[in-house]
Amino acid sequence: MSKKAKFIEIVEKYRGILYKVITIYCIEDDDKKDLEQEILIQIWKSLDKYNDKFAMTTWLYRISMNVAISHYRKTFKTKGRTVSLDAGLLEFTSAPETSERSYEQDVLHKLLMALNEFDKALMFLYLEDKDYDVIADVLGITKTNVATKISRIKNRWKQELKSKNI
Amino acid sequence: MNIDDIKSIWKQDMSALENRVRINEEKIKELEFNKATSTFDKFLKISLAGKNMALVYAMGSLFLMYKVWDNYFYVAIVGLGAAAMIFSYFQHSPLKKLDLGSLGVVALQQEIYKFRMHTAKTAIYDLTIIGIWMATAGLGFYQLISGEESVLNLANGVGVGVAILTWFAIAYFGSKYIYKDIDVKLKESEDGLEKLANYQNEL
Repeated sequence: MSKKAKFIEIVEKYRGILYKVITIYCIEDDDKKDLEQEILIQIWKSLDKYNDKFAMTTWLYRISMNVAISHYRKTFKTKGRTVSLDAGLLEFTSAPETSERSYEQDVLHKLLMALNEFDKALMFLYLEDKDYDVIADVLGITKTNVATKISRIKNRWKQELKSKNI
Repeated sequence: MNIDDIKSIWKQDMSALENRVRINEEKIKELEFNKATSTFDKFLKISLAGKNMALVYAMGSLFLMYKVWDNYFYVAIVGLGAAAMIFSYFQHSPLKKLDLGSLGVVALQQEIYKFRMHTAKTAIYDLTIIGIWMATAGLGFYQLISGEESVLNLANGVGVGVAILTWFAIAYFGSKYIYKDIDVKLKESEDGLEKLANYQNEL
């Protein structure tokens, strides 16, 4: 199979991963398109180095996360764009029938968006039901570190939600 | 909101996202299919009209033949144009009206391919036939309105010759450009349908 055919197959088969990563790291459509381009370019560049012994999904998570994190840092530096939990959370109205997201999904999205780029990647992989081993592998930290960080973030979220009566 | 439920909340959110993406993709595929259908429909209608017009042009030449019947030279010249147009009509007989709405992606792709191949095969004949008809009908018409043997008259003959050559050149290069444009647009439609077919195979 040619490199081009393999690339198209991977992107079509695993596009869900890319959509999800892009969604948690970008708010505006222009940013999403930029990040999508950057991820696709990186996948193309790294395709020759892909080792069949490792899971394709883990490899894709690693690439897309790395690109997303550096894109986020770049965007944050140039535009100073971030989401304030306090600013947004209290303004939510529970109207799942009129909104694309339910109230709870909206809250979770805001909680994620308020995290720094690394914690965002960590919680994203956790929410994607990845094993701690895989998360540690993708993010380049130890399994213990993964467990500790996730537990801390969950506790912090719990307290924040409690303090806002959500 | 229970923090222990975040995984199921996330799954619902992501499944909604995937659903939205899938719906958007379906819409894009539908647009692609409609675009291909309308592009093909346009060119097929033009070709069918052209095929039928060949008979009208042939009849025009036959009428001119009748008008210049006294002069065998012009009868032969104009008759050549009429014969060329009749040949063109039969050459395009494989072109038929299609119910494009009832065709699936692969069937539409096949029809576009067949049409493209037919156009590519007959293009050179069409260009020549148009040129011949224009030249012969032009000569016949000139003979009809001038009432003299223009070709045998040297002064007129040069003028008529230049006019015919110019006419032929415009028809030739103009048609060549149009045929190329048609081929490019139909190839785009065919490629779009190829992607659609691949997409459907994946589902």
